Amino acid sequence: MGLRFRKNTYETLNMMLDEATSGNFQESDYDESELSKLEVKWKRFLGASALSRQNVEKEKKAVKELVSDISHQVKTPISNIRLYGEIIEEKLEGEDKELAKRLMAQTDLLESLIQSLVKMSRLETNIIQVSPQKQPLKPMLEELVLRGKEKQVKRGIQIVKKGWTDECQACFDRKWTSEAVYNILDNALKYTEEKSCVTVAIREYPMFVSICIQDEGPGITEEEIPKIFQRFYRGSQFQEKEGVGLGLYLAREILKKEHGYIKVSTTNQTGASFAVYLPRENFQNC
Amino acid sequence: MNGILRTEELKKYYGSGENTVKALDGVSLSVMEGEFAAVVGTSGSGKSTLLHMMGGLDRPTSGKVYVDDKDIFSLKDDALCIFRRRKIGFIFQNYNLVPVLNVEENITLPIELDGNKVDRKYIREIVQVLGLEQKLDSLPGQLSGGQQQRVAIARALAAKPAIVLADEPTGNLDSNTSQDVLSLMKVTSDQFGQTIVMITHNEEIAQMADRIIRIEDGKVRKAGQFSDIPDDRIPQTGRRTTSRPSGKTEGKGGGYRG
Repeated sequence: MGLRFRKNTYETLNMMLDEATSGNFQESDYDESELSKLEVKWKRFLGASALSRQNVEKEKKAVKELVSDISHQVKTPISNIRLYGEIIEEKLEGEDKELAKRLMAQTDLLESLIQSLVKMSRLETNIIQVSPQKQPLKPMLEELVLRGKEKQVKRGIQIVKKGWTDECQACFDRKWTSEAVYNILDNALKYTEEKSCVTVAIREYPMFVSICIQDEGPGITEEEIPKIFQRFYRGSQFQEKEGVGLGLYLAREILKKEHGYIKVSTTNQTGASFAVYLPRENFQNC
Repeated sequence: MNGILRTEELKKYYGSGENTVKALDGVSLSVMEGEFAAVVGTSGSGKSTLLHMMGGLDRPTSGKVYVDDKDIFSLKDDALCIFRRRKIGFIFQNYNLVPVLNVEENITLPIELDGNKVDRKYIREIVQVLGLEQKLDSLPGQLSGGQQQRVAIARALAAKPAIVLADEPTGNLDSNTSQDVLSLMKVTSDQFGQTIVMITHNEEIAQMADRIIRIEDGKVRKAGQFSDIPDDRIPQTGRRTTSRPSGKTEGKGGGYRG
């Protein structure tokens, strides 16, 4: 009798623990009058943990939404600074004008930082969903090349297209993936040597499609690879004024949500090679 | 911060005196939770031995291995076997599926062997991401190499082990299928926060991982030791000289974080 009682208790405790681990523990599922003393204590403890976990989630969500709100609010003062700054710049001459120009450049930086932060916090709080759809790749890539046209022309860069077919399809969210891939293309156009080539190649695999962007710039060292995806990381040797170091972080987060990823290669000797992998089929709905 | 997998001065010596073969000669490394790490080395570099040590499949001559902060070699054989089954997932080059069980049964086998409840929801998610939904009733013999390896990955992930160890997972696959299998390992590592350590001799494959640990002559090769890089590479930056003046990079980090 004693042995069977202990075995039943053990099984009940085990079951309660399984449910708590999988996040399904409901206190009301267990009727206290039937449980042994030990089980009652166990149940109360698990119930309390489940509750505190819910509270933690709520708090996290509130903080994230606050960050999102703040970043949104900051936009207005920045536009105003820019507006008045431009007026002042026009009225000044010589050295003073130079100072005003530098002030404006900082405002640009601030604005770009805020924009990236807003996007990031919206993505992270799931306020905006990434909804992948199966669609052709070529139209998105054409649009991105167009977006980068100005920079491309200014630096005399040639964009080489490889494997771009009308039939090639993948499963992705056009708006967010454009954001992610453009970040990479933009970096390539920024860091490649003047008058060099940036190659955008599509490769198809049985379950994935890759978009590979290869530039002819200084490349990336193996040690740097894990770092470049961190927030605010900028290559130590690059003193570029534009850019804020959020692009790759954001790009990787977006791709994760689409069941894809970004791969950086160092085996190509000259320049950096970034490959974006997208699934061909929709994992959730097929 | 301790990693989910840690080795301390691992040594595996065979033989004695002049004939001693030092398969591993003091390997200390740490893998963080959720990382996808690759251990690269040529044949005979000690990488397979390292994997066997990390998985508790073989005991070292000296040194320790901690999985989830547990010193695995302090366990007796029976306890180690159970620990291994629960905490470590394996993916082998030749899939190692049970031919008389179907895909679904192969995936849930280790969990059921342990007498544990199968988390059906989690398995469904894994199966979806790995594209195996239509194949759950198939036998391994009816599947292609790539599909079989996907089943092996699902099996390794299903019990939610602390770490997954993969030994040349794409060794028997053609290059297109290899790329897919590696992509899936990367995606599942990201998606499910699964720590994966993969050994390979292939540099291209190693590039898929978040971090590369290089093994040579039974030791981890430290950053800065570029013994096989052509002369026109600057040791600190590790890349060819360019016409653009480049500043010095800090040469810290490298193949592994201690």
